Amino acid sequence: MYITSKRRRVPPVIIFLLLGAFFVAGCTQLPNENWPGLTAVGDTVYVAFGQGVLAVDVEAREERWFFPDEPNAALTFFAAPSVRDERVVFGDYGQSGGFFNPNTTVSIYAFEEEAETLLEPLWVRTDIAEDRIVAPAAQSADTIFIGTADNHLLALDAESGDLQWEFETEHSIWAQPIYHEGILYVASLDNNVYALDVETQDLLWEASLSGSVASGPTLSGQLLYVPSFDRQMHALDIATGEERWAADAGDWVWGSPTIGGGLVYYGDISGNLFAVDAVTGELSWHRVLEGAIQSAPLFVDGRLFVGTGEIEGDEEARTGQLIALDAANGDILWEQEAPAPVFSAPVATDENIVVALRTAEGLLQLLVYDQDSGALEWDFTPVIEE
Amino acid sequence: MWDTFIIDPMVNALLVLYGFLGTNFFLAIAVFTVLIRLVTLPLNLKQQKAMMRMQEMQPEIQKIRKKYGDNPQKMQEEMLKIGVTPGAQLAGCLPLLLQFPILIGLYQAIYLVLGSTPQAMFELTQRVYSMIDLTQLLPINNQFYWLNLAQPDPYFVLPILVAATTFASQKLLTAVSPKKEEDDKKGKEEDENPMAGMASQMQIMMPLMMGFAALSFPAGVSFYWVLSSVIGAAQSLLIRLSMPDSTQEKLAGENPELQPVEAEVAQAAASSGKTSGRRDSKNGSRSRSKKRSRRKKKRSRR
Repeated sequence: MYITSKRRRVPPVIIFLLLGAFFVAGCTQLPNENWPGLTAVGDTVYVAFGQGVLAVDVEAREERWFFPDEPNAALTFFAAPSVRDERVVFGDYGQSGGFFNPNTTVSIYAFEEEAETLLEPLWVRTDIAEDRIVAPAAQSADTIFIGTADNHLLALDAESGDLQWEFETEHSIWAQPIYHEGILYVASLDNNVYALDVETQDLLWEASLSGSVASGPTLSGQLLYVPSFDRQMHALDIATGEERWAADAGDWVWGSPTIGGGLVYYGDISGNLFAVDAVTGELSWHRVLEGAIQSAPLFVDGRLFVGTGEIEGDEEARTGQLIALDAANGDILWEQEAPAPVFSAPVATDENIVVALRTAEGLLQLLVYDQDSGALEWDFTPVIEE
Repeated sequence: MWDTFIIDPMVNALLVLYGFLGTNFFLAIAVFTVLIRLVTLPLNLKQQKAMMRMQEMQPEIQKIRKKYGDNPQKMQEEMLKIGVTPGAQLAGCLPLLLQFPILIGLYQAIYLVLGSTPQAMFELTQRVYSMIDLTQLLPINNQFYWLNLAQPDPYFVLPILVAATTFASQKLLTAVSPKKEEDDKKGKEEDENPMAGMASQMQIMMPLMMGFAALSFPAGVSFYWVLSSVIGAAQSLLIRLSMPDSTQEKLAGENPELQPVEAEVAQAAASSGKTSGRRDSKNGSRSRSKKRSRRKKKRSRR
């Protein structure tokens, strides 16, 4: 312990290195595991995950493009890309300004797509969002609507990216807004749903719920179906915001609802799957599935496809399932085990059902199943890390 | 294990406090910090006192070093005789080291509680105890004046405060005597006392390291550190003020009794012999008479 003078300077250095290592190791192992955001248009699926966004032609079994050209470890993408008329829009979680700069730069990107490639960006805005982009964007012909975690809904010119107007809520917006006949419907974690006149930016109505809304509402006919953490599915009149009915769930309703065959389908994070009448909210059927239902069910030709994920046990060993059910009565048609929780909403291409997973190794995995038989047709792991 | 015993209790404590304190997360962190300080108070006090005792014994230690500098084994034996162990020498660092697991746990807990991402929010649902109605508490208000408690302070105020309060806290914890400061200036310090040299390096390095780290901390974590350091500094100050004057004088290096090496060693041995330095200094004359009698015994054996 009583060391010679030559070695006197060593202990502080060692202690600080150890402390530094301990500190960095501890602080960087945050319990944040990014699951993929998934969209499908035709035979192409668009995936936002970890360090990039990519498009995959599922029928041709090939990756079409990847953004950025060089993966950037400082970037994280989560919000599912929004695609309309070959215009692809997405945002990121923000890039730290570096060790000496506490500011984060959050970017919103708009690209034009051509047959097999992503062209040069139409625009990139790095100066209008201060916090993460969690919500997928909504697009009209000439405007892009995107919510931010800094409590704002931004309306951007689709061609230039110029900010046309903005609307502030009381908390983050994680839900994809809905644009319908000149009205924009916005749900926020502040427990409220807002209807805005896009032309005048007037607030037409505001509906207060008892819980946060983390995923986008679904519009059908004259009703807006809103999932909420208050353990209910709410049906609001789109003209007035008045609640027509609220149907119970067993736990938080996180994923968006799906409409089909006159029923509204939704799941909760305790694995309950419900089908209620779209007009009255009356329960049609209820089934308990294994694991949590965190995403929207998918309705295709009288069948319902639901992703589930285990939430208990060793995190690395948790698995998930893709389950196909008869939408009329909830009977299970087929089920497929997935190697990781299925927390991203399944999407449909012409022939297939596609799910995206975050593997235990932090990689993206796309699984493509036959709609009818549930047979796994393609298992694709692009080189894109969390 | 880490999650069950560190993260989850912190997450739930923060949520309960947030609910009780009018859904003000800043206040929740403040009260949480005070509670953590209270829980760790006995250990902090014990270690602070141990460290001060080490400071009291510095003159004795220096003498031994001078005398047995070329014989490390003998020097170690003499050190052990007066109760100076390697563990005791590092005692002052321990309260600070104890803060690290708390800080790392709090970093993760704040990240989870503020639910800044869907993944964090989903993870939060799995960690909340059944007695807490998370639905009623959400969304957690993460704003406090210019600060988003889940993001670093964009105006550098908190990182500067982190560095300043860490320095103040360290300085008061390991407050040195005027004589020692003089020695520091003359560069004697490290040559004569490597552990003190290390402590003085810690006083500079630690605030700098914490200040730099705070540049990337969520503001809530930086605030915890600032408040915790202020409480620690106040605690050190109170301990010093509550000491008898004689001990304070000794800590200030003004004790005129400290002269011959053997006397110092013997005195230190007496003081460390399962008694506090405080009691020893009060009974200085009794110690000296014991030393005298021991010398007489030695002579008679010869």
